[in-house]
Amino acid sequence: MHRPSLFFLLVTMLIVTCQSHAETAEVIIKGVGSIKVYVEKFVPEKHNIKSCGDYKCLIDGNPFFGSDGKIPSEKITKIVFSHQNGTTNLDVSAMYNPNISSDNIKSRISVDHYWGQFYKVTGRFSDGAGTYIAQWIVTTDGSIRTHISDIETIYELFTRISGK
Amino acid sequence: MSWEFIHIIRRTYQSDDNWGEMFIQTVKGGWERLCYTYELPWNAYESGPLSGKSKNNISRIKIGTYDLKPRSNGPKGWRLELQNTGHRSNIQIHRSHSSMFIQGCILPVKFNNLSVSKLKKGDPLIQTQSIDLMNKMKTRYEKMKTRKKGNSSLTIAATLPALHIMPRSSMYA
Repeated sequence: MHRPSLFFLLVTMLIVTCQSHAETAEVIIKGVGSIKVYVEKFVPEKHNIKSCGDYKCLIDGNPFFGSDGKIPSEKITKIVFSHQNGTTNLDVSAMYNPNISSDNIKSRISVDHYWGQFYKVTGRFSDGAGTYIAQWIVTTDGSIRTHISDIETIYELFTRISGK
Repeated sequence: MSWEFIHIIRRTYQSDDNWGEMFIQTVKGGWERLCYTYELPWNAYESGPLSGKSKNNISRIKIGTYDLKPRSNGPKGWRLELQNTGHRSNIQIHRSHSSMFIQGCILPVKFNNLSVSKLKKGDPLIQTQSIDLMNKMKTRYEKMKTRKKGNSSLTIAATLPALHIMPRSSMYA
């Protein structure tokens, strides 16, 4: 009598385990440390998604990047910068469908020395019309995301501030 | 079952060339030359599981036939999204930005690098003209859609569409 409910409990646990499984990709930055990206499946039912016509425009009340207005399939849950003094977490809010794997991460994420113990981490995520660029200033004690947008917005920003 | 709506001829198959031409189907079933196209050059992975396939973000997609899905809202306005593009995603025919930045999509434009009146990247006219082309595409699409069943499709090839009936003199007007 209790066997069916035990069976369903096991199946449910298996599904939950699969859905929460985080895939990761890591790039080693020679002489500096490494960047590891953690990605999970996106479960729409767990989120409040707002539509603006045929464009999904808000997830949990905020604009988001990576799917050009479709329901995303993946979400970045963590990006961790590991260095000689420990680890620093980067702000990954609103970042979906990164399209990053261990095969392509080297061409997607780069780290440049900024000054002292400060680094600039730049990433290019997703594909096609969903592509977005993010940049962080990272140090051993903390980090801040200084930019996230599509490439057209970067161009418009540059044009605006340069007056060209 | 899909119906052919757009045909793109790439000037070269696999090279660093960006340019092509776009034809759209007429109501009578022929083909009309619409405009030039601008895409990223071909750039393929050299190793790993995607070896030989186009690089995400930095390459055009491979030639072939793709179903199209119209999209309306969002910052790029009305556009057509290619379906079943394998490891590539969000590949669309959408209006060009004045900067002509793309990450794998196809831009309709009114000039190419051999045109007499070359526009330079950054000229707002590039975007205005491209929006006009998308509007023309949309009008034709909506007229055709009422007469057809199934999805519309795009063929990217190195040759002209088989039933190209426009007089040759108007092809390169």
